[in-house]
Amino acid sequence: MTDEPMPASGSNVPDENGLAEPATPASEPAASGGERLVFAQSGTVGGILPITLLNALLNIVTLTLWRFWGRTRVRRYLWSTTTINGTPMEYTGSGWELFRSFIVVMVLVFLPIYGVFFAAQLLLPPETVILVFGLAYIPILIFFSWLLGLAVWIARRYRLSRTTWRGIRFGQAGSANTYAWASVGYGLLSGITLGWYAPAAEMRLTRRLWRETFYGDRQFQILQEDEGLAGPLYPTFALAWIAGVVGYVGFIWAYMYLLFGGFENIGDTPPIPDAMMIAKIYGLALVYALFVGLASLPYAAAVMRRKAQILGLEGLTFSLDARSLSLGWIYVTNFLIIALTLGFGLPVAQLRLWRYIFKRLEAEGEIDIEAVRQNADRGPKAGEGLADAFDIGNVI
Amino acid sequence: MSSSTHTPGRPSLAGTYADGESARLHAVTVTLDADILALDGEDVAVRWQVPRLHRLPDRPDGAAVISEKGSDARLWIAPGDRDVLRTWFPRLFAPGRTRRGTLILGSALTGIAVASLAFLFVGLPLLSRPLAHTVPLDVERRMGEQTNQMVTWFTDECEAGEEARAALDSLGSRLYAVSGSPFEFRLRIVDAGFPNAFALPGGRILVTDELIDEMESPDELAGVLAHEAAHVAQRHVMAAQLREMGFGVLLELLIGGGSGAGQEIARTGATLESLRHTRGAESEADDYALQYLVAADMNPHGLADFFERMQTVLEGEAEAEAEDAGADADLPAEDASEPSAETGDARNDRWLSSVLRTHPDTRARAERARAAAEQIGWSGEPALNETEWAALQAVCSDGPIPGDTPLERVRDRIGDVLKPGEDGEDARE
Repeated sequence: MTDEPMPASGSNVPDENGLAEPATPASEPAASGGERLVFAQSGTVGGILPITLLNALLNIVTLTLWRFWGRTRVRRYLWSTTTINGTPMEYTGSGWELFRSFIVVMVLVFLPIYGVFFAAQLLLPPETVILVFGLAYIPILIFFSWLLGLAVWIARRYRLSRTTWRGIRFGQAGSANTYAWASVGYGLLSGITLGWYAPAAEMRLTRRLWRETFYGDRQFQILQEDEGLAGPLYPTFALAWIAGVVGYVGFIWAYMYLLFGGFENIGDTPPIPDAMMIAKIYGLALVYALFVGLASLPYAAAVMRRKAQILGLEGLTFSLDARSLSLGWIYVTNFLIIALTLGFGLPVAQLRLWRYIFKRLEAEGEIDIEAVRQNADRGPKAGEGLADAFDIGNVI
Repeated sequence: MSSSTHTPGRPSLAGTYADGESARLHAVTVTLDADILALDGEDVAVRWQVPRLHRLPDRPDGAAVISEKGSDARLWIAPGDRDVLRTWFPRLFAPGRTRRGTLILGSALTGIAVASLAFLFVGLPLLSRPLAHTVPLDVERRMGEQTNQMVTWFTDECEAGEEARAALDSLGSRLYAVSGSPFEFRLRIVDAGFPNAFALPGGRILVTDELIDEMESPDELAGVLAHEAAHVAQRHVMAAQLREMGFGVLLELLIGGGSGAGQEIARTGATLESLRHTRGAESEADDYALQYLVAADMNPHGLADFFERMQTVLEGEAEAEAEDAGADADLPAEDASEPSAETGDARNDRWLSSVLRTHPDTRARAERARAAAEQIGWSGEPALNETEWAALQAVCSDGPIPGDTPLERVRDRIGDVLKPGEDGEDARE
């Protein structure tokens, strides 16, 4: 683990307790003026395994009601094993906050929505119900994607406000509503452009979030305007997009060939697939997914690098050395971990990705940390119920 | 204040302190004086009330983290001082403290989960019947109309001649007279590739033409219709819908939008539970059906005859192993609002099919119905005369009404709504 040298100011403190260890509390530098930041991640699979096992057990016997507390424990572990200049981050959220927020969202948001749908079915003339719902399909879709945008923003604000380092909170300012509409609009644009707007959408949403992100009273900056924000991503995106189209066409071709036993028979009634055929089709789908997944890795890594690259805080700039192969290894092994443990191994997978990021994250330049004051915004009182309702609450 | 306010000789600890106001870290000397914890260092002279202290989870290096209630300030004490901390703050550092908290919380949550399960599997089914009878008739009628519309959109309707209509109506009204049903029965034949009959909420009963083709006498049809009539009269469909709704809402409250293995297990459990109750309702409907048949002076053997025919069909299919996914000759799934709910994929596996089937075992039902019918007298009059029966059998034999493909129906319907004043014929071209 890399760390700052032992500070002189610590030496007037009796040192009988092994405080010379790099990660122990007294090893912080007390130098005034600018400081460099060094990130480190010391989490281990062995460290998170007890949490994972206990969560699995309790999630089963409580019919997943434990998930709020389980998630909190996982975050606490991930945060506390992540150190900046030797001081760990702290996750100060609680399971109660998540639980309460989930109940509130269910009662105030989803039950009324359910009620409106039900009432509409009862009150509309029977002949028109299906048509009305058909015509309302697009608005309903937009409404839910707006709600999803809200959920992302609200959850992020909660997590940041519950993240502290040296006793100072992070925070998210700005408007959830604006962000949600932006995400709806960018989503539509991405659809209209057959996906080609997606990298720009991704980066613009990132920009919206991070330029309103605070550490204490200091605001993060985005060192790049909207123009050219996603420019460097397009070569890798083109690769992923073309691979996606080619892969899809190839998949359909091979599927037809398998199903009809040769191209000359296409158009006949397809035979009822037997077990062997189904296995072949699944194998084919796996090959397809692997092919597209592999071709998308350079893009995924480029997005990670770009997000770190555009970020600034005071005199700091950041870089994240994400590479296709190393990231691909994490994704593939994480997929296997989650699949083979029926999802119960998720915390281990989360740890591995988290560790990957913080081991490769570096900050250039200096920041006058000691001048940073507390963030006045204490954040929301409750957690990310909306996100949980959309099943995106498990994001770390 | 200087950093040497603590009494010399009193034990002191070294700590690191963040005041929660700035991101600066302070090296401090920590001493305990009765109920006051003193933190002293360069620019620091903090006094914490011991009863207000609370302990946060340890750092991964084992350092203890202490704070005052509601404060952002943090004091870190290295792991080597754990023994001193334990004597200073026996309450905070009692062994097994967090484990006890986990146990209490885990037990409470398990209690909630068990109570929810008990409600879902015992309370809700018990409540659903009485509750169904409190639903205003008008509401149930409307729900039935919705479902009927849904079916109309996705199935072809058959041209039923004057005579066939009259035959259906007479069967419906004879059963209505004896059933005490709150709803009149409105029977309709739809064109579908599988034999089935459905009771919708509010008195609508749908029969597929395929089902009528399978039958050899009007008495069998009367038996099946009596069974459906019982579902309507007993408001089984309403009760099932209430159960499903309660299940849906409560399950959503429990597991959220999650899609993990745990959530899937819960959903599967809910489906199995709902099937169990459906089977209960089927047996009950069989019993009522016999009563109606007796009261309406219809052949009480009609139901048993029909079950036996279905059983023969099933066995024949199993032997031939002619697995044709299109022609689903499984038993009628009366309550299903979507016909596809019951498919034949489970037929190969006898165990699975007996678990999953919405209906009790056909052979057992046939035997029960036969045994009950033996006790019952009957005038010998068939439910319909030869011409009426012939008219019913002719329905759909020429296929659906021309100009009534799904696409045309959609255009028709959109035309209805967009040009409410005009005749639908215009939109149909």
